[in-house]
Amino acid sequence: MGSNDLALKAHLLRRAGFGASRGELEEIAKNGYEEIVEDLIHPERFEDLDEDYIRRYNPELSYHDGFQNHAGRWIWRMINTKRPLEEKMALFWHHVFATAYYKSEHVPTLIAQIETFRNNGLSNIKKVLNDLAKDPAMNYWLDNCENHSDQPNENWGRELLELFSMGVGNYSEDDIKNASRAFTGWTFEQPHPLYPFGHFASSFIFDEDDHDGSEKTFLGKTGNFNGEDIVEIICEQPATAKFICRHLYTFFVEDEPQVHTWSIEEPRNPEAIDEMIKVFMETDGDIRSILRFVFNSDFFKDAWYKKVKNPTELVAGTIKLTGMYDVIPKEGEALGTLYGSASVMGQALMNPPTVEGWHTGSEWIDGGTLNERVNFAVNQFDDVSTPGFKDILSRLGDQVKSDDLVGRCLDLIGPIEVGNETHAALSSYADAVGDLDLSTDQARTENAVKIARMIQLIVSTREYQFA
Amino acid sequence: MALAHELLRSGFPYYMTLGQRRVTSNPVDIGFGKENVYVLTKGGLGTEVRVINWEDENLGVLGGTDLFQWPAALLVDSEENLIVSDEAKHTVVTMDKDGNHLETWGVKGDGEGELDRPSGMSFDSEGNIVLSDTMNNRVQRFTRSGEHLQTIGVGDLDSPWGVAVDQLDNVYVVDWKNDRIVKYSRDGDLVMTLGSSGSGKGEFNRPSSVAVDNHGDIYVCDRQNNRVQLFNKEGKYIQSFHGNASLSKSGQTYILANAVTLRLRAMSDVEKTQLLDVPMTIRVDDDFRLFITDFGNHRIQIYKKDAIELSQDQIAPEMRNPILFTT
Repeated sequence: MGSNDLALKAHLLRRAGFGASRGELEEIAKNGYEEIVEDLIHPERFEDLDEDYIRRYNPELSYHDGFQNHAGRWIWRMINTKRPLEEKMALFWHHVFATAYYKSEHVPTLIAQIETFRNNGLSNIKKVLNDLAKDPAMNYWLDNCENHSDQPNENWGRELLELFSMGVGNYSEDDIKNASRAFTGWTFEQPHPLYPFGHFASSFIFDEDDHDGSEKTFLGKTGNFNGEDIVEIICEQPATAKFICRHLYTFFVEDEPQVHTWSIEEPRNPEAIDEMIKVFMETDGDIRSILRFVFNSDFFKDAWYKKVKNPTELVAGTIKLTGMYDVIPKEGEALGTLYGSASVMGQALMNPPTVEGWHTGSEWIDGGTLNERVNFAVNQFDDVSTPGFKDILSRLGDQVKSDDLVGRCLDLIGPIEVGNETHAALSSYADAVGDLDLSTDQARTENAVKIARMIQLIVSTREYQFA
Repeated sequence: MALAHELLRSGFPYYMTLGQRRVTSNPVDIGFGKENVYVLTKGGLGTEVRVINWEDENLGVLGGTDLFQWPAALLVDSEENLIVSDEAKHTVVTMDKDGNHLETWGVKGDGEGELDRPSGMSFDSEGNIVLSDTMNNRVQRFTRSGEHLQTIGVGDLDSPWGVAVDQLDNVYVVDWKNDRIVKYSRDGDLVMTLGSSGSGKGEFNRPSSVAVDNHGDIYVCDRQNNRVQLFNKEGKYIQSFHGNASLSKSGQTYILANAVTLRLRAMSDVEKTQLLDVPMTIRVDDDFRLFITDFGNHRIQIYKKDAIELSQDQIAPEMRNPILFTT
């Protein structure tokens, strides 16, 4: 297996993680493809990230005013972790179970929710939904703290079925009402107010006195159901298997139509979804097993560049190429900048626009956001002193022929494949700069900017927008 | 001054709390003038020196990001000049008590007298500054104007943070990444190490600060274990402080003026609000008061030691074995 093998592994790391620098890719690629998949779906095989320095030099991470630095820390984790799928799954569930800062302005619970996704993201759907139902941030976001035995509030019950598990058309209004009754009394401990000492954490409380313990009928079953019983029944439904598998497919394999159209729009690849559903039903919704199947499938291996990178992927992946925002922060690096960069491209982590989350795929791109995406990527290669750029430069060797420049650079920052039109445009720049001497320090210094320009052209191509 | 032979430790009760969010936001260090209390703050709610008094009144701010970007430690000298170490600019900045900039020294590098992320600071008995040179994994001693005098700890330390100097001019260094305290003599000889990684008694999780009082007691800010640990002068574990804060005066005033805040506090569990949350720096004064910058809670928790000094003839000799038959 030659460069194609490397490119396939790069594809896997873009989807199951946030890409890789060339050094990382070559190190990981010493293992076979299936072995890499096993490492990815078993993050516990690798040490957790050392956060000592990031916390020492970003004291904002030790209090809970404003979420931006904490969102930035999340992107920093994506850049530096040896467990990329752990962070990718947290991002996946954040897409599905979108919960925003703007309603509660309570950062400790938002951080705790992402930590829950980090911890349970590869477990099974029953655990994921039960943890979600007990999550204070979600509880407040969808008003379940106002769901009382004598005065039910159906917001959480409705969204649990519509957006979080089964999808529209697979349940009745009575099912929503009865599911909601089962979650009465599921609330959270009142945290201390912001003043005078800042935010404090909260945790789930089951208030039995406020719980409707009477008989309910839900999806054809009858009993004195509590919330866990509702989750149990939901997880047995083929509709849940299809809904979750479709989410996994669109996040990891190929951009699907937007979620709200799924009741009328069939999957782009129904055979693939059917195969995923089979694994889901055979494993009781074990996410790790489903992803093992997906990453080893032909439909995944053939899905290169069928997804528009979400802004977080674009930011984390590009920064990885520069070697910046390392484990030891450099002077002037601000975590809030990472958050802000993705935010202006349309993805404010921990603050999604609605409970539906973000519209993805081509909807990430409009005139404004494309401009932000290109400018961000280009700006990261303005500086020829970054560790990542210096590494690229050193890998180019002593001489780069003009004819080789495009191919070598595409290879080193991907490998990336580009169309003929793009290739021709890049080649015309390579022709203009001619052969480059990199054999001495002085020559490297003189020609570094020309190489950086080529990289900047590549990261501003249409192709770079895709994962 | 000779240290007491032993102490009758009556207790170390909670004394008071100073500050609140938006006043002493994100405190990283504290220093004392004749009347004022100076709180160094770092973070999104303000990077500056906040001035308050013992009545917990807000008297304004000094300094700011034009003088220091990543301030780590604060010293206040006898003339009430304020000295701040800055890990971003690799400098030590001095301003007077009105905030006028007096002096900045420090150059980034790893040569003698150069600095790479200077952090913890303490005065020695002659008024020189003992300074943790974090990324150079050493401690350096400088005159007040930045003239290099001594280098300590080369080869022993990994990213040192806080430092303290005792009455005998021994230097105590927080060996941050090694989860221990290293004690050096005035001449720089290693005298003692204290602690190891963990969360048990005498164990540390990335400690940030150390202080020594006039009894020779050693206090360690065990930052990621959210506590402060106290050891006697030989390094024997005595007790831990996990936090016991009450409302500060300014906090009480704020809450009393806000009906919803009052109700929410009435609905919630007070115990949580008493605990330390990522304590950053500790200082002790001549009255045996312990000051803990309770960083995550935007306040200073203060405790006061209640102990009686004992002479050798007042207390039985040390015993090698524990005994069960006691009187």
